Amino acid sequence: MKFLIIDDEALVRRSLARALRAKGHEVVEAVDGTEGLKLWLETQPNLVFLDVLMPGMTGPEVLKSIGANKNAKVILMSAFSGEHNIQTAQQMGADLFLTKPFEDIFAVIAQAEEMVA
Amino acid sequence: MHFESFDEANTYFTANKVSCVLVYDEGQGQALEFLAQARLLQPTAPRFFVSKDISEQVLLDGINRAQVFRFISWPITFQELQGHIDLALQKHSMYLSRSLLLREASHQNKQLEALTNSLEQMVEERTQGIEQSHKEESDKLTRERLLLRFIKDLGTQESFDEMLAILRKELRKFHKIGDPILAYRLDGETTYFHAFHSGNFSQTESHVKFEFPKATGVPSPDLVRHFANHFGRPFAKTFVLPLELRLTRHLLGDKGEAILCIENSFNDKEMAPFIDFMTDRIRPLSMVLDRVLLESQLSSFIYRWEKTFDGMRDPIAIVDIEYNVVRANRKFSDKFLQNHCYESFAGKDSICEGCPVGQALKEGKPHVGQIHVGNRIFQVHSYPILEDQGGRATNVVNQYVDITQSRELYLRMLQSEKMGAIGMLAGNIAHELNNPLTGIRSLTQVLLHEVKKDSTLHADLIEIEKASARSQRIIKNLLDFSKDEEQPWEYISVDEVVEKTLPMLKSALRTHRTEVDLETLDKTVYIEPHLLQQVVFNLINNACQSMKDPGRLRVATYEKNGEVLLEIEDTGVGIPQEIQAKVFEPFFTTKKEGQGTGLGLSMSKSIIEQFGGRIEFRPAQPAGTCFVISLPIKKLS
Repeated sequence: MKFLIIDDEALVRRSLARALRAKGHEVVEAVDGTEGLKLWLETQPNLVFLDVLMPGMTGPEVLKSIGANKNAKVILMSAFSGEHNIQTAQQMGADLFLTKPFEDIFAVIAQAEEMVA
Repeated sequence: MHFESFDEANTYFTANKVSCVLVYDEGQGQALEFLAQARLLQPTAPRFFVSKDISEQVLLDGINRAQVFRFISWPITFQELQGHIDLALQKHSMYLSRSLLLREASHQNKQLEALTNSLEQMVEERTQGIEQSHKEESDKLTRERLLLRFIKDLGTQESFDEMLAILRKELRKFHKIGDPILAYRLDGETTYFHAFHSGNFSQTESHVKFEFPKATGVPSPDLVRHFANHFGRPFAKTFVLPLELRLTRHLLGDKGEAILCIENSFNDKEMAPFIDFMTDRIRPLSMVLDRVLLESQLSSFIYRWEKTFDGMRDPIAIVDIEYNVVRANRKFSDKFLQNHCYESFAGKDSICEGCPVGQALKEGKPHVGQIHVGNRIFQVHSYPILEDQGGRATNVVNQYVDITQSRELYLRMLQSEKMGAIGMLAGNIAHELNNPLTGIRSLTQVLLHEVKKDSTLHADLIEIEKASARSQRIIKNLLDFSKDEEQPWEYISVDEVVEKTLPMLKSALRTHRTEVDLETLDKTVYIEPHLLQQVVFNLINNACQSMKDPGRLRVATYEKNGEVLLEIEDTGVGIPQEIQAKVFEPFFTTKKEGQGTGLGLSMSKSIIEQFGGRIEFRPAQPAGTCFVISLPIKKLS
């Protein structure tokens, strides 16, 4: 499976990527929304980890731009829980909403694998 | 002279004076008749009767009728005759000189009489003159005495009624005179009439404008017509006197005029004494009217000012340099008025903290300060009263504005704004921290999978994972704590809340020894957790602040009579007896301005009461305070 991680926090990308690769998945990383959108269209991933708050293009803006071309599952992630919840995330086109920090990263990976299985 | 006939002699005798008469009688009686005639005409001339035969009858008649000087019997010798005549002449001249003397005497007598008469007349005139002037003097004295009494009577009068009544009494002595009418204006609009109406006093007013005469005298027909119209009756001959209202005009800015109108039917002769009488009295009348008007104006000014101040919402008082209350409005003196402002208003025995009076007096400029009276806060505006330019102020006007509510609102707003800001800040920090924390923790978890379970690296990674987990919890608590929106009520144990709160107080607790003894983890209460967290935070924070030196903080929970009791005890300075009753009052604080809002304990109390609990405190031994929160145990059914 091919996973795209769009997050400006290097440690988040690194931990997710490491856990996914350990499971034998292909991982593409993007440091912000703009690069994320570009790589999304180029690499056609099965699932996208998308952070909400990023410099430049935010997660919801990336979702809006991708619009009808969305051909992957999307997990929206936010460290600022007050702003979004699963309902607003789904309205924006996301399939799952996760609040950071994660209690257990392997639980997150398991959820993601389940979504694309 | 010698005459042959009596006729000749008679003619001569009537025309000329003689010294003696000698008649020769021929016996026909003519001689005696002549002598009787001679006696009548010239009694001073001695008369001789010469006859040949002198009878007794002739003697008798001669003496009786003619007072004959000598009877001579004819013939007679010349010498004898000469002797008789000499004697006669002697007698005649004696007569003459005597009569001259007599005449002189009587003349002088007459002159003397005339002199006496004129003297008497003079004395009479003088006496009359003296009597006249005496009467005049006494008249004048009486007049002045009457005037004096009039002035004295007027001086004690307080109203127009009494003043007019006195004038009326005085005027009674003139007959043919009506009762006096007083008309005056103070604003140029309304004319007030004070008059007697069938013996009683009456006051009326009119808004008709007409000129008051400026000089004493018979008024214009126009004025009489206005009076007649106003009183609804004809006016006879009237006399008008303007009264000068010097002080009233001064007070009212040149407004204020008055006239006295007196009806009469005097003729010209009677008019003069009346005018004299009134001229004497017009000044005193003016002065009394002036005084009465001034008094009524002043008292209405004072009344208006008093009403103005009493009508104001804020207490107002004039205070002197010794803080004595000189005057105060009703709002200020609702309570029993005592000497000093701080006694009367604040119930204190010394000057209130924050009082601006001293500063205002010292600098002669308005100052503002805040004082606490009971649980109210007043903003005191002190305005110094400068009696003269450049002089020192000895009085201030204090206006007390109750700002308790607005201050409460302000502080609540400040508090909520502060909380809002903290919430936002916490949110931002949480976001900023959560991202790397997520990375750290997740990466640690991934690495933990990759290293050998019994290696040192594994143990290190475990510690990193734990620390990042703890950091996450602190951030979450902080977020929950600062959230300003309404949070749901929960069945939760007090111990859990305390444990969530303590990490946030680490820096406050650092210098003190903390004893935590929680025994009610299995007992739940029904509360809003983050509010209880605020209370616990507040109480522990207060406890730490009360311990200036490193002390001991004990936090304990236990169950008693269906309640969870949370005790927070410090070894600080304790709460002085005199402020114990006030610590839960809003805005009561012992902290310096800006360091505490005075809301913490009052808010804690209202929160705990909202949860159906109680908050109390007791002194701790040997020193310090122990706050106890009791909450009823409630289970989720």
